[in-house]
Amino acid sequence: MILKILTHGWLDRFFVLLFWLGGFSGQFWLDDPQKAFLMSVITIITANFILYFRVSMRLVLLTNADFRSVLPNYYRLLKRSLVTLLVVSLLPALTLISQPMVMLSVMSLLLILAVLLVALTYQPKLYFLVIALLLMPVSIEEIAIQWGDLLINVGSFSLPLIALLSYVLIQHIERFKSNRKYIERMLLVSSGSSSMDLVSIEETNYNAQPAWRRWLSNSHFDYYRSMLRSDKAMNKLQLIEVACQGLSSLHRYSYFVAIAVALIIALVSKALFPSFEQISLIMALLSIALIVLGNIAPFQIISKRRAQLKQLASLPLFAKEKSFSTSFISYLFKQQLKLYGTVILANLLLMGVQQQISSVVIINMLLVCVFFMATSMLIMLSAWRSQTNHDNSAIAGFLGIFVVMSITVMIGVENNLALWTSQLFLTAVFVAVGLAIAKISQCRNRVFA
Amino acid sequence: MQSLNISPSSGIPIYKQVLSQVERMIINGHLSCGETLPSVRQLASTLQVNPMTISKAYGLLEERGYLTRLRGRGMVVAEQTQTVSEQGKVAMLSEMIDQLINEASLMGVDQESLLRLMNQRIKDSTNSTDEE
Amino acid sequence: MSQVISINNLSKAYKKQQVLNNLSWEIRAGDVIGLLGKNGAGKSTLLKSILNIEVVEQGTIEIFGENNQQLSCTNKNKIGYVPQENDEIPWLSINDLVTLRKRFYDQWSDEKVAGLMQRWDIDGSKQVSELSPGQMQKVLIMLALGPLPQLLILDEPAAALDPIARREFLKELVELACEEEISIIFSTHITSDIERVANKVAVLDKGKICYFDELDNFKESVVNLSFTHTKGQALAIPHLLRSECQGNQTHCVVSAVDQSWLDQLASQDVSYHINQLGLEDIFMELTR
Repeated sequence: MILKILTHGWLDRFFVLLFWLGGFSGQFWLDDPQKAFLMSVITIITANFILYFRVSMRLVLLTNADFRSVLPNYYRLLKRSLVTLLVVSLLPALTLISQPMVMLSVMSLLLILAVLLVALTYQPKLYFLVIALLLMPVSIEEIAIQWGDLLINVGSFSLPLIALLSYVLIQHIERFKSNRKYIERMLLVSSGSSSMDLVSIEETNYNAQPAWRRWLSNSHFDYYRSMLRSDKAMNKLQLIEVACQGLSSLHRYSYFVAIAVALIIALVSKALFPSFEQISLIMALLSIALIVLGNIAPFQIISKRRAQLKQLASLPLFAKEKSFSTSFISYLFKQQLKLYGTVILANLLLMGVQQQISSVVIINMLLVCVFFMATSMLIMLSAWRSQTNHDNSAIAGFLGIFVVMSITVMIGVENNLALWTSQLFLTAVFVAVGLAIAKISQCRNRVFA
Repeated sequence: MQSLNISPSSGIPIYKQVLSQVERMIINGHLSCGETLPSVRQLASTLQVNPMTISKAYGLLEERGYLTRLRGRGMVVAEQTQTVSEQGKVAMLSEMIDQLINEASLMGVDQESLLRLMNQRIKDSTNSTDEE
Repeated sequence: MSQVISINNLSKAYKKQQVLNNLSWEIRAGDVIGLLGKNGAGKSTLLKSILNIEVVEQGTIEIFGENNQQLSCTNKNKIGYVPQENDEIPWLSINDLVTLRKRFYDQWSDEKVAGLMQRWDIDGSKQVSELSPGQMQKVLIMLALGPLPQLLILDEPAAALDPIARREFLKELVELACEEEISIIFSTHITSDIERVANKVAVLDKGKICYFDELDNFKESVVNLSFTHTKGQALAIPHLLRSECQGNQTHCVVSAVDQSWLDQLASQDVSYHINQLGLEDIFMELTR
């Protein structure tokens, strides 16, 4: 049971398994044994990092939970689960890495990683130390070449010592305490992460927010508050917009800020390194951030506000048939246009810094955005219209489409393809748009089930 | 009318409670002839009960001749003829005695013992008033 | 008096569970109705269906003589609703919330809202997220009364209130009931809320309104009967809900008193006694 709590959350489990499986499959895929070996080491470390990171967060909560002193055998079971978890997490390293010395040193590295991550979650101040270490002007490559063998030797021979240390630390787990306020924030993050909930802040007390967040969201909400307080009449779209804003909504100015920041980075890096080629990376990161935050966050906020919106729909203003659903869908459409307009604009600007913009690229981008818009409207409306809660499957759908589209775009960019020449892609766009239109016309009577 | 004591959670409907209490107040002279009763709204508001309950009670009191509705003044205590008030007293006491008999039969006390007890109590109470 | 709400053969199911089953109900103007039902009996679903917040799958609902799915603006202005859960926007202050709500209505009484705010000690500058559940409940009730409704639907309005606030709220309801022609439906599972304020009681059980009558009739008809009879004598009690026999005594609960049958008992040498039940006991007996 405790093991289940420690590793709770389908998304984390999914990624951990994915990386472990990736390590296994690498053994079969890659012909070059050197590459395969490197890949399994990297995947194992990544998977275990995710695992330890999550577990350490839950561990803080468990050792500070109120029922720790009420339940019998609480710490005994917790310790046993922790030992089991550590042993199991070392198994992939044991099976995948064929060189015994490297295997042992990777295992020590993993144990150190686990201890370090737990220490970091209990004492967040230590993060500064880690950041300082990362910023040290030392090249990792040089260390690996100069000290690599020595490190492997030291690592493998000190494994018993490190294992003993971790065991002793686990046995003293009841002495670890953490700051109350910090734990509350941790609870929020970990409950949000377990169900891929970007907007778990919505349900917390406003005053528990850090000051900068409060300031930020207030600067966003003030616009709507002043809109309400002014005597000017508000149209239906504006009223719906007010009701759809939450603490985790994208800030009103975030589109401009995102574009400005990206531009500055691009310009600065171009000035400093004339042969800068990472512009596509900046583009990708920016687009991902905008699309995820601009799609999933509003979707989840509205899902949480469903009851409120349904109630608003029953008020006199929306007495005319289809009045609410029409306004709501127009609002949604407007938001989507804004979002993808920004994404296209930002990408064009960034590209303009580096190279000429071809019409092929523009049309590609437009097509991809049309596809995104159609699918996300489809997913959102389908989830809201269904009687049962499908929010999680909707998120999975968003992510799935995202992965598929990223790969498509990557292939397109790599080979400088015009996407409209691909029949498969065109069919997908047409089907998505058709389905979206059908869904919208179905929702014109009623948006929420 | 402040002295009305309503217990909403008892099994007896509230209108009956109001009815019997006002009836009692009129019979034993707490409310004298010609006195104006608070309006349905006022009484409902002070007792915090539904106004329909009060108007039902008032209606029944009017039917039984305890109250009369006067234009512009509202509900007023009607003049009680000797016979009506006598009848009222008898009816009220009979109701209470009925209750007593019922309780006694449930406890398994027979009629003779009840009567004996009754006489005993009457004697005791007259004695104690004499001593004073 | 005219019909305010009439429901015909309403059915509603979630997944495969039938919540409302062929329910019919008529509500007349001026009634103050306490809707009783166990947890999960479907009280909220019924109230939300009336307001078209939940989709009606089968059956029809009419409010002020109009189908509730095509309710005109004039009639929507006459309805106030207090939801069970607070889903209000957390980042608005109470004053902002009032102005927001006001924009959805054609008619709105600022005096009424200001008066309630003062009487109920509501601080308009506070944010929704700062309020306790009880305070929020008051705000929700205030918002529902803003448009001066002729039909007020309250879903467990007093659940989060402390005893003092609860009294205040019930008092407000009585004041409202004194006004002409306002109809109030409030759901609750706390029977004492009903006893003062309501003039009618409806009991929702197994997807149907299994009882709907005046509160006084309700109390007078569902009673506890005790019989004293000769040992082993079997009684065919009409409207029987539950009975228990101990020697020469039978205790039972009936849903209606058949006076002529009771009068016959004297000839069979059976004595009986009627004990009145409190509303809570009646409710328990009916939904047992």
